[in-house]
Amino acid sequence: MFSTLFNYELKYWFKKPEFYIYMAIFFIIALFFSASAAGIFDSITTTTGSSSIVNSPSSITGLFNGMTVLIFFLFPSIIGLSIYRDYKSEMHTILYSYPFTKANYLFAKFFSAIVIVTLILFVIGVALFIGFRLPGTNSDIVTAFSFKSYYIAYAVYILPNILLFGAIVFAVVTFTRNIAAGFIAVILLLFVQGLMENLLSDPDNRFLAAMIDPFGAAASNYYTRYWTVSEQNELHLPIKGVILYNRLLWLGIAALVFGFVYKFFSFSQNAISFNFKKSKGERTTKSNFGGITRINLPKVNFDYSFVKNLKTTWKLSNIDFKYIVKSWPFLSIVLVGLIIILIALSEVGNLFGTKTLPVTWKMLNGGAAFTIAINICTFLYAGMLVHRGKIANINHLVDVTPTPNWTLFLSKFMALIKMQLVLLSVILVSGIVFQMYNGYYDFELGHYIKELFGLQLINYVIWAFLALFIQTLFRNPYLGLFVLLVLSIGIPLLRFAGIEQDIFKYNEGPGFQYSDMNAYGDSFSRYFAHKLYWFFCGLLLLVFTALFWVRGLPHSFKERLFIAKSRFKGLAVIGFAVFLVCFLSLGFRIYHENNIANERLSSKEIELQTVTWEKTYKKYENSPQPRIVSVKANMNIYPKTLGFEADGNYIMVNKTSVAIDSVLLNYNDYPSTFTFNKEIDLVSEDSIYNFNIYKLKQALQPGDSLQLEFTVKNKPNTWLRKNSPVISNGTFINNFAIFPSLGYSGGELTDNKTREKYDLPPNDLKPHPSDSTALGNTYIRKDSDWIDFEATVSTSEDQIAIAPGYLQKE
Amino acid sequence: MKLTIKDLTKTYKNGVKAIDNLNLEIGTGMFGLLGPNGAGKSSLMRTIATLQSPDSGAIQFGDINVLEDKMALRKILGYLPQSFGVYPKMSAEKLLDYFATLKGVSSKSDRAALVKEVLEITNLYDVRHKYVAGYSGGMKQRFGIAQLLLNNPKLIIVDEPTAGLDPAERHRFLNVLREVGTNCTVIFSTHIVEDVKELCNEMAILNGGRILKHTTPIEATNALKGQIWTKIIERDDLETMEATYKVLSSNYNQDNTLNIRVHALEKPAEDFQSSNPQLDDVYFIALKQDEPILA
Repeated sequence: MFSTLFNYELKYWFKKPEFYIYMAIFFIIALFFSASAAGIFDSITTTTGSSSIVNSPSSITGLFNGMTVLIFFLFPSIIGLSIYRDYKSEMHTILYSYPFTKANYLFAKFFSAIVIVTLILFVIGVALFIGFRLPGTNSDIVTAFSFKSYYIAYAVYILPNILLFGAIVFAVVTFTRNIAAGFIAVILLLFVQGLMENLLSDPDNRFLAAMIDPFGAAASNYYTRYWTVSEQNELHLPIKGVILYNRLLWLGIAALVFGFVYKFFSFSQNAISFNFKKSKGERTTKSNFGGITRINLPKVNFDYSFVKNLKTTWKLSNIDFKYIVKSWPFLSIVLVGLIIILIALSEVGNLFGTKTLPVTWKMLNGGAAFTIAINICTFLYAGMLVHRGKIANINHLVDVTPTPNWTLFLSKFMALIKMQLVLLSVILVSGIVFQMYNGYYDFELGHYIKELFGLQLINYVIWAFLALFIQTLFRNPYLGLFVLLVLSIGIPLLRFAGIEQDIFKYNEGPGFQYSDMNAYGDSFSRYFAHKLYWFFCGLLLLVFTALFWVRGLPHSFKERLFIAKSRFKGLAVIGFAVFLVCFLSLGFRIYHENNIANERLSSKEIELQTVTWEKTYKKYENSPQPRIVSVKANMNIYPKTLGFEADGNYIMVNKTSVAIDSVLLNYNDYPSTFTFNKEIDLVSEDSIYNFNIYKLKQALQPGDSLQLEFTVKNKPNTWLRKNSPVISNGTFINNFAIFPSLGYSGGELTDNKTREKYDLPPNDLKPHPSDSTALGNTYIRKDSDWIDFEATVSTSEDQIAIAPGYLQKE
Repeated sequence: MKLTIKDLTKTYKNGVKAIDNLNLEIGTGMFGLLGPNGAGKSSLMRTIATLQSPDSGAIQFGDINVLEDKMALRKILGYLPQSFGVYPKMSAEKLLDYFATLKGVSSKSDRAALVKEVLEITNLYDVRHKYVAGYSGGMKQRFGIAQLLLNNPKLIIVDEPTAGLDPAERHRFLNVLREVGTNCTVIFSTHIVEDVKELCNEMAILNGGRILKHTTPIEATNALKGQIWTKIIERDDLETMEATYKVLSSNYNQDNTLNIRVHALEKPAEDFQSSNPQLDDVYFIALKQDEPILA
């Protein structure tokens, strides 16, 4: 009987498209990670140089384990589904009367699902193997294939992990008969694991931490912590001591969980439910025999207007919102989120062991720990709401009502936003509670509200647009959820594939910074420009949601495309056109600012420039230069326009014993002018590296001095780009940032493997403690020693100017 | 108002032709759509109810082109699918209020009055605060009728509503339906011949996606007058009888003999007795005539 059930389950999965979709997704993810670790994107982005081997046993274990964590999110819809399927299709009413034993049934269900997961893992393994060796990868950091490293990663770490998490998910879904419950269990487990890791980060607890880390990473770290790079590259992970104990402990717990399922599972028709107030049984009888009623419906007004539909949207969103906040996955996420926030808050108050005041912006920073919870809720409930009708099988009743599609999906969108508002309020409340607990009563409510319900909300709303669209497109809410998770994790990682500009990555953009002195400063306009840009993209997605919204019977994808095409008329076209124009023009404006009006260098180009810089100018590294002995600076700071103008005067002396005939001037990327007090020729002017070479008509003899007058100011700011370090309150400017210096300034590539690629010699080692040339320089710069310094600073009236030295006149 | 269906065809992705070039005209009153399981009844009804689009053909109700202007039909449509679920943890009253909103009743007091009335009509008023998800089969079906009435529909489509109801519930259900259907078009699908006989003033027999017969129950039985014959036979003789005559149906008697009904224009043999034609006979004859002839 076991094998019949087992084979049936496997066959079922082999016929499901989801199985192949999961495999394909993981294949691509694993390929992406392994290939980019092995440097496949080196031609378009920075070189992945490293002396560690990317497919060493420990790296493979790490990468493989990382992938497995992603698979955990699929467990509810693979392992949980294996048993839930029978409930959903109501097969259990028939199946449970068949003559097989509990053990047969449970083991067949569980192990067939484990086999399916293992097959997906196998695909990951293959993808890793291929990814490391794709043409274009850097063969220097890939070593020969070792079956043993994959095998140990699977047998020692991954298999016990999937058995443990699988058993827990299996238990939760079996007893609740609810897939969402399984999903929440996975999230809770990951949260708890993260929490324990934090709490046990103290070195004294290392053994305990190694024992109770369910992933086994802390256990292997217990031994490999002090491995050298070459040991990491070559040695297999040990299988001994605490690693063995850890694995056995968690396997034992997995077995216990499964045993628990076995003991309490029964072939009953109804799910286990907890009843706190026992209601007394009551005998019911029928009394409605026959009876003919006259039907006399009251006269009511039917209203199909736009305004009424708007009202309906609001009402429906309230119903959906109530459904969300009453559902216990939501409640448990909020609860766990609260705990996480409070822990995070107690951490942000500690600055290297120094207690700081729990001011509002710190509370808001700590609240960022809640971001994941808000995103997961958005992704999950977008799916739950879109498919709510179908799950309850009420969709046909709803679909034949004269309510337009937009009312239906907009109401779900609004319910999502209301949910986000509630979650953001959780941050507000926990922040204030924490402040009160610490006796800090300066509640900046306005700041809380502005940041949470203004700045942060728009970010989550943009995610809600995407979530609604993806969940409409996919017919399985858990597949949709998984895709959304992959997108939200993957989009920021596109950087590694050479996609560096924010305007090409959904909902990416510069962030905002808050300080008590400068508030949000100028980060505001750039943040909003990008969020507005993505908001238009979200509106476009909303149009697509409208086109692909399922009304009536499910259709094949081809039919849905056809329906979408037929819906693309009238308002849909106008909305699409308007949003597209806004999206593209704003996008172009940002693109123009960053790429055309100003030069933008990709990290690859920066890397290449660094190479050229070194190759062109390294030869001047040791050419003798005069040293600055006196600086006079006039600094005008304009906090209103966020600009500055400065000029200054260097007096330089030849402190060497040879005559110096040329001056190497290293300056910053600001409009500048330079004049020397001796006759001098500009031999080479390099505006890329901002490095000029001047030749003195008459060489500077030892002990002689030279003066340099310079002016520097910022390029004008635009609303998308600030070209100066000045802020409206509390500007801090370092002399390096705007004033010139002398000589070759270093700034070379540091990684030896990368240097080798560009035919550069290996890095210089740090100079020997007795190296007299090196000893001749301070740790800050090579072109000066102690100097005479004089500064005149001007700024707005409400600012106080501060510079090194003693105040002479104010 | 009249419902006209022209040249309707629908083929599913798996190759099943659920509706095959179907033409039908339905007037005011109760219209029974009779057919075996899988005949295409649900497909037809879902298509009329704007839940799926046909491959080709046209549907017109009054002056509404149903396939072009779905919203217009939905305003006057009451639909009860073969099986439906409800949101868990919502009472009948709440759910009906929800549906009334969806159906365009914007005023709160209007909704309350309407919901109260439909609850009373369907005799659910006493249990209006109970979760619909916990209702028995009959109560849930009555809830289905209640939600259907909310927009005072002109076209009512009910798909096999009496399946699985106990006799009392079934009667009650049919009575309500009859009451509603006096001055609008009700299309009512079933595989139970009794239902049609009791209620419908018009009927059609559907199989394999085609209308086999479009008639009224009385006309249909009258047409068969003098053509139905019965005989009591032994179980072992059935095969020979089936080979010789057009056997419509056969039922066991308590003594293990069989009662067969035969369709023939004249008395088939001496030992056959004439019998009053039943609607069942009409149904079986129509299905028999449609059977593919085996070569």
